[in-house]
Amino acid sequence: MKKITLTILIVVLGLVLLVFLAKLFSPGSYSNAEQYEFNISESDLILLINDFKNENPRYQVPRQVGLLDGRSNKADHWYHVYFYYPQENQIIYIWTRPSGTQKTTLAFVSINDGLVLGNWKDINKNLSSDENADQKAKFENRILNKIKQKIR
Amino acid sequence: MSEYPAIGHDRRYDNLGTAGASGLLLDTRTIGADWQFVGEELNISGNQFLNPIDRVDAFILGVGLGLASLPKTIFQLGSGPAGAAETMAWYSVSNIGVTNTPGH
Repeated sequence: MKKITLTILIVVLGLVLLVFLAKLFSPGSYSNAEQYEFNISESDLILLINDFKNENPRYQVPRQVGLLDGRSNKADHWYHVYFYYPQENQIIYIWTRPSGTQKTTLAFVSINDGLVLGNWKDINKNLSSDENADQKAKFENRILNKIKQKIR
Repeated sequence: MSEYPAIGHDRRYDNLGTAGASGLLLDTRTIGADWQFVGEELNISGNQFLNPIDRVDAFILGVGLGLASLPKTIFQLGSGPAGAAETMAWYSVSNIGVTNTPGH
């Protein structure tokens, strides 16, 4: 009985160590981003995002900030998109990336306080759990669900 | 010095569209990228011309990531020649355009 208990303990400790190590390394970019899957192509999703922005100009980032939607170069994996919450004076950063021929991942990455860049906080990393949940719910209610409604 | 392999490793993950702890522990497509990272770090740790702090850092990083990647590697290679071939194919995909040079 003692042997079994010891074996289970070692296995559990080994798993905990593995998860700890993996979280420590956390390789790749945007590992904390909140991801949402869409069953449409990336180009269609970008069109819907642009439609949403045109219909809701209050969510467009003021021009003086200089943040432009799009890929930074031809080889960029991610199409970067920015929204603005005028009430909270916050910039919201998301990206899209194809995850199949007719599938696209949309990721909510970070929030910048104010219109001066450099105050970015990553979702699922730099916010308290309450604030994190609040920001995700706000993003889903104000933007994500509205974009989803456009998919027919 | 020991951070340079991490740049290429992150880029290989980006090429595959995976990231984070789940990618490292569960995504078998990244096995080639992981072991390339381990090899590069162990190379640094074995270089007697580098300073000891860099060498120890590189050793810890290499062994640590290798440990995290080991279970999925055993699982994948245990599935036979097809598993090994798949690993090689995904490594080629992950390697496209990747260097360890910062900021490009």
